[in-house]
Amino acid sequence: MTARTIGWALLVSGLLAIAAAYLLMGAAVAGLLPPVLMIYGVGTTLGGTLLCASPGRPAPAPLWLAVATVLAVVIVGFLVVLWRPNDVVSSPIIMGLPRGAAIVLLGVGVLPALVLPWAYARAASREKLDPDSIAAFVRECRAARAAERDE
Amino acid sequence: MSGFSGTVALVAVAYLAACAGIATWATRRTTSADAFFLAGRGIGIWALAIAAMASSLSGFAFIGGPGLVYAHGTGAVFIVLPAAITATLTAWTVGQRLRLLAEVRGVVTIPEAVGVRYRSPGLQRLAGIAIVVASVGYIATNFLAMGLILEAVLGLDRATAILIGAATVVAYSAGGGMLAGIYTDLFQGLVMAVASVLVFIAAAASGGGLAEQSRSILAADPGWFGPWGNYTPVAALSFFFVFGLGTLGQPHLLHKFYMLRDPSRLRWYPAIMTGAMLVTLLLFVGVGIAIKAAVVTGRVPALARPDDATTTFLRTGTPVFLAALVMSGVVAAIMSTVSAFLNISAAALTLDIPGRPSRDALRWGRIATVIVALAAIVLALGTTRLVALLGVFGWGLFASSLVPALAIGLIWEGATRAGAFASMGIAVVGTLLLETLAHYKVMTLPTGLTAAGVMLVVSLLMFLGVSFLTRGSAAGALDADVRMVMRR
Repeated sequence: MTARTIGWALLVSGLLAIAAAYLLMGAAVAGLLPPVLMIYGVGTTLGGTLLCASPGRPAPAPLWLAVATVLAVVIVGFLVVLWRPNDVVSSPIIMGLPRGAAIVLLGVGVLPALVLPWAYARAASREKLDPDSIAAFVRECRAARAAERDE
Repeated sequence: MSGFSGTVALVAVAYLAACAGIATWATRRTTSADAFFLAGRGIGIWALAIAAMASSLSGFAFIGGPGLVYAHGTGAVFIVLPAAITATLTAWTVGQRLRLLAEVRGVVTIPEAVGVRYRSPGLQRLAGIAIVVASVGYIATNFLAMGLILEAVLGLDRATAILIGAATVVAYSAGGGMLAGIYTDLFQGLVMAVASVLVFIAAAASGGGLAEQSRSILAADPGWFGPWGNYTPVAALSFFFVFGLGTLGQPHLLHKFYMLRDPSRLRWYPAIMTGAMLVTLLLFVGVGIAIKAAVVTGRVPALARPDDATTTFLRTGTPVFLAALVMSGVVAAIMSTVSAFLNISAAALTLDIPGRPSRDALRWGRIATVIVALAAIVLALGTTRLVALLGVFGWGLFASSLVPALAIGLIWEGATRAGAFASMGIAVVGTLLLETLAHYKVMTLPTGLTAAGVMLVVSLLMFLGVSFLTRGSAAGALDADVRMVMRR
């Protein structure tokens, strides 16, 4: 199974999960199902879109790291605060914030910033984007288009 | 004029003078359509990323956002929470592809990229119309906000304040185009970041420190500091979805990829953009928490309007010079957003909607900038109710119309022209309909649902479904060179 196939499975299942969550909310269904579907959907649409952006060749390791980070932080982070006992008043203070808010703000809101940009920089450093490589690529593209027109 | 108002006014005038200086410099260098619409494709990565941050954060990040945190607690932060992910997501999915498309096809606008992707001038026109409609509303909302601030700071009547603010930003946008826009955005972004950090330090130190503020709030209003704040989990997560995936459809951000001088530097875009966003958003969170703690402990009376959170904190918790710097930061945030939208909507009017390039695109681009600005000024001076509706409409319309057709279309060779038309059509009609019905209270969306979230998921499913049903035509909607760009 390729990265793109996994990506599409995540993206489509995520969109369907969000649509189902909205329908359940529209039908005034309470309980944990709508937020769980929403958490799955939000995480997998973001992670799936990243994987779908992988070109045809095998996806680079940094891309897998980025996707794993997004899925873990978004899905695990939000599920933890959803299922955590409602102990806001007695919550310990972590870095100045109550535990639930700290998981949301520092975990989901900051943690990906420490991994994702680094992963992208690693993956992008393999791309040949110097002026000569781009000029050669542009020539190849124009030749391919001209050949297609001639057919 | 009091000492407070006098200092704020002095810094505001100095700030506007600095913008005027940059604009004059840029206008002298804007001698071609390429310079006007794309800053001559000569922008470095630092200027590009910081300008992208400045134009993506409007006055909402400094005024409306802290007010929303004050009113709704942690849940309001879900609007900006995806900022740690979105720059990398954007760079990985569309950044390099758009930049290479600019090299291979010389595309200038985002609608043009849509047209090239599907071999469809009709789609280019439709995307151009969506951008102009949403931009006029966005600009009008920002003109109104700028008028309110200049009214308060300089003591002018609101109409005069709107006209002065609008005239400043229109002058440099029409004169210097995107070159002026990028460098004023860079200056404005730096002002915003410095102001945000200093205010966050002041906010975190107030009321006995952040931990003490948290304890005070937990004792008085524990739900406010729950993980979802006063929202339901689905409502908070819906913000995360719309402002996360929806970033892939924001034309004023995507357009900037065309301008990067050296594509190999793109690899630093997520690091710089994410860092700049997180630093500048410190104020959004810090002031919201600090002012809530001040209110629950009785140090400050309850706010009449949540939007007073930042100004109340500045008057009670910071030195006057910092307050002045922040007010300039707010004006900076608004002006940078307005100039970006003026530029992309002028490009859509000049290059995309007519369907063929104009002989004198530079002159028409300047005229189109003034026309869009005049339409927004009329709206801002007219009915605040309509302005509010159009302001809400903007982000959601961009997201639902451009995420499927452009962002997903650039990473999926199976996308078809019919799928793009269907998703963009339902996005425009559905967003307008839902937002209007909800705004005029003809229909109330169930708790947790937003029109932007519903239309984003509907347009994406429509795009995937119609493309799948018409998959036989996918190969015919894709030129060989565009396919090579998508696969690289």
